[in-house]
Amino acid sequence: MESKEDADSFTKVKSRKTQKRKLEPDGADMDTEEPVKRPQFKPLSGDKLRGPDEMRKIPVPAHRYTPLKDNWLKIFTPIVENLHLQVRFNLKTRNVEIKTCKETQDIGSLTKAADFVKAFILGFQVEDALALIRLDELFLESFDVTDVKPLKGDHLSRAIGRIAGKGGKTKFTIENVTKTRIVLADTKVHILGSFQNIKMARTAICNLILGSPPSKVYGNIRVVASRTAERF
Amino acid sequence: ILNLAADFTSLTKMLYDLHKTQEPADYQGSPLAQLVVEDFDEEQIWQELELQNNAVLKHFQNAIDEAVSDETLTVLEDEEEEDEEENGQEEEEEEGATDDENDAEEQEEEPPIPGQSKKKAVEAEDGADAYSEEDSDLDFDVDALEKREKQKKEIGRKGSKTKVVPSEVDDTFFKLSEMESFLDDMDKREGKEDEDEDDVDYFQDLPSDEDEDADLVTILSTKKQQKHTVKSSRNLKYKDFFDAVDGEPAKTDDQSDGEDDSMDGSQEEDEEEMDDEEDEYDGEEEGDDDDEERSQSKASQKKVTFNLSEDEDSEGEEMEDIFGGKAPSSAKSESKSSFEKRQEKMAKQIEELEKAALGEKPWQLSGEATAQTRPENSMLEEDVEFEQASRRAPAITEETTLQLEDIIKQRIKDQAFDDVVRKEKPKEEVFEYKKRLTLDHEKSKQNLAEIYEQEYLKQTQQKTEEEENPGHVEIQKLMDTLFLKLDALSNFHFTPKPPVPEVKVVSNLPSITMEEVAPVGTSDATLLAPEEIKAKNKAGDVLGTTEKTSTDKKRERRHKKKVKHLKIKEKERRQKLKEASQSGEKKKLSKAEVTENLKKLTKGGKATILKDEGKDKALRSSQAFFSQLQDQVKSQIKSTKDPSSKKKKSKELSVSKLKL
Repeated sequence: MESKEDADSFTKVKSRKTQKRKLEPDGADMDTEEPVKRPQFKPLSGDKLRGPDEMRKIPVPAHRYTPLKDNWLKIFTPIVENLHLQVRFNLKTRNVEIKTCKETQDIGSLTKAADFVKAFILGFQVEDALALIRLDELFLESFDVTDVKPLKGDHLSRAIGRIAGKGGKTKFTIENVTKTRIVLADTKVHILGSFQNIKMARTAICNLILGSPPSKVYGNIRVVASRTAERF
Repeated sequence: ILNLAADFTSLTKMLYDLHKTQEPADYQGSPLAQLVVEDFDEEQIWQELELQNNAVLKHFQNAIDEAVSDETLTVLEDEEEEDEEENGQEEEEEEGATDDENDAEEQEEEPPIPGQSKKKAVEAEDGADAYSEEDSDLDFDVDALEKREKQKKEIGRKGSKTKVVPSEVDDTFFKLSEMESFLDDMDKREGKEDEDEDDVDYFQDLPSDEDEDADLVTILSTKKQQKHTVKSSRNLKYKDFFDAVDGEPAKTDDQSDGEDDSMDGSQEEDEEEMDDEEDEYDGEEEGDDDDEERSQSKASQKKVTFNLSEDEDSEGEEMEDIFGGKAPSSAKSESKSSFEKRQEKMAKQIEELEKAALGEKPWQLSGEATAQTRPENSMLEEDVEFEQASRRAPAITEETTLQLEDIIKQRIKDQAFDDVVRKEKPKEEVFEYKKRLTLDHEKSKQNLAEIYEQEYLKQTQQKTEEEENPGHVEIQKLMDTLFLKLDALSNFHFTPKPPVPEVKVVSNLPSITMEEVAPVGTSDATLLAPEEIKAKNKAGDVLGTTEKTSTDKKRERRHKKKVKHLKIKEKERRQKLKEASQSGEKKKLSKAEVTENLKKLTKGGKATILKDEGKDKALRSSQAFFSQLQDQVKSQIKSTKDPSSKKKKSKELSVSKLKL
């Protein structure tokens, strides 16, 4: 309601804490006026609307420590320059911390940045993870191989091998056909892409886990993909 | 002369006294109950009479005024009335000796007016005079009647004087306009609230004819209309109410005229009273009463009206009741109390109900009824309720037909026909196979963002492409051809056409044969896929002879036979067509056909082919032929003569063998 009264074009969303409606000093007169009247608040300047800085922390496992170090430049550049956020790697807690600052325009960028870093930490390439910042409708899905079918020991290994294929062939095929990115981390599978594509890829991977041969899976995903491509 | 005078005075006195006794309460005549003539001279007698006349005159004048003001009266009547009034008035001013006559006349005049008002609707154009003459006999009754009539003036007059506006629902029994006018009257009456209906005495016995005179005063005094009956309700007959059976509006008989007059005024009340009684056990609405009453109020225009709102059971009872006394159940004579009457009716009803309950049920209530168990065409009158599972066929009316035709016309104008499009099996070109999505087994070169970026661009570009003006494309093409020609003309050297996109032919050879140098890596991506060469059978893989099962073999055999059969049929059909087209002309058979025919003929053994044995050259002439024949015959004879000769019988030159 206060934003409506705002004379500025500033559309910043203020923090929840300050959103309690403040009673006007002449609030006692309200009853005497029409009951449906909107309370009138004085327009505030942008500074006052800003709440305290928000922060996100993303923990980094040990095996991703080195890749993070190597790609640090590529990671923080878009965050700082494009999203206008502050980012640092807390060595003590081994967390990547992202914080808003005065320059931050959109509070949603904080979430985007957090997702970007998280995707990288999971194992995706920086360029692929960067798509999360650029595109709104990309999502990240993770599941376990054991979730699909309770496998143990060699079966599990074979299932993972089926997903990957020789030299990663199968995985690449699925990625290419469904326009997604897949990360196979032991028993965990992470998929990055748009909603429909994630579904397609997930179906294909599940079929592989359940035991169908790759050629069959190729055929299926090809059909589905061509159908979706035709639709657009 | 003195005697005459004495006679006159005594006559005057008599008349006065009689008149006074019959005087109604509201007449307000003179206070003198009797005309005193003893020892009175003319002057005094005259004064007495004057007293009476003046008092009465006002009354008469009022009546006349009302009669005049009543617009439903026609001019004729008015004139008559006025004439009579004037006469009366003139006469009134005369000597008292003629006063009685005046009175009589005035009284005569008054009754004719309401009487006429009632008779107005009658076709009988006797006019008022006849009636007035008849009425004079019943002066007193009519006087009383007239008073009542004044109270009910509007109703009676209006009821009889309304022009009958013909409407759709009218028939011999019912006139809509009459009903409406009566209803209006009733409404007005209720609005006035002149009468308080609480005083209605439902239990009063209806007086008979004899009682009439005695009761008249009491009846009149109560101002109640319902009390006025001239005839006991039980003694009423059909003809009192209705016309003759042939349905014509009856002209009132002279006989019943007098009764009619009295009846007319009282008929409404009679019916009201009767209807009141009927109300007690029927609870019918006033509307139905109105129908009856109003119809009856018209003098001599009696119609039969049926009380439709009543039970069917009670209808008959009512009629009986109206007819009065014809019901066998009324054993008693007229003086039955209303309670007894009610009881009778109740008992009758009960009897009817019991009879119905005990008796045989009608076919509608007795279970399944086939066509034989119920009367013919009885289902047509029944309202049957049943559920229909299927949708009813659309009722074809003129409107629907017109609508349909409109749609058809519009469709023809728009050329939007619902023609059946021939379905074609999509035969996939084998080369289309390649255009399908190819699977790339390598890691994609572009990252995800780029992929989506390209997709987005493709989508947006498609839109821009579509927006390209087809006109521009055409123009571009034309210009290209033109410039090409101009270039060719303007150059000394031949300028070839610009290169057209090449079509690359991919041969289905392993790539190792195409290249001399051993390739670093072979890939079979350049080869044609088997499906590109021959479309795969829907059934599946090709089977070898040893792999086929008996069903497969049989299937194949059947397929083969079918195909062959079709081919033969096709051939025959074509043949027939050809012959049909060639019929009538000289049939020139082709070589193949000739050999065919020959074969056919020789097969059966019916014909043999003459073989040419190389001797034709010598036999071109008949001479040569016959000489040869001779030689042959000779040799034959020789051979027969010489049986030992084992000459091989040379070939006989028979006629058949020679090629002729």
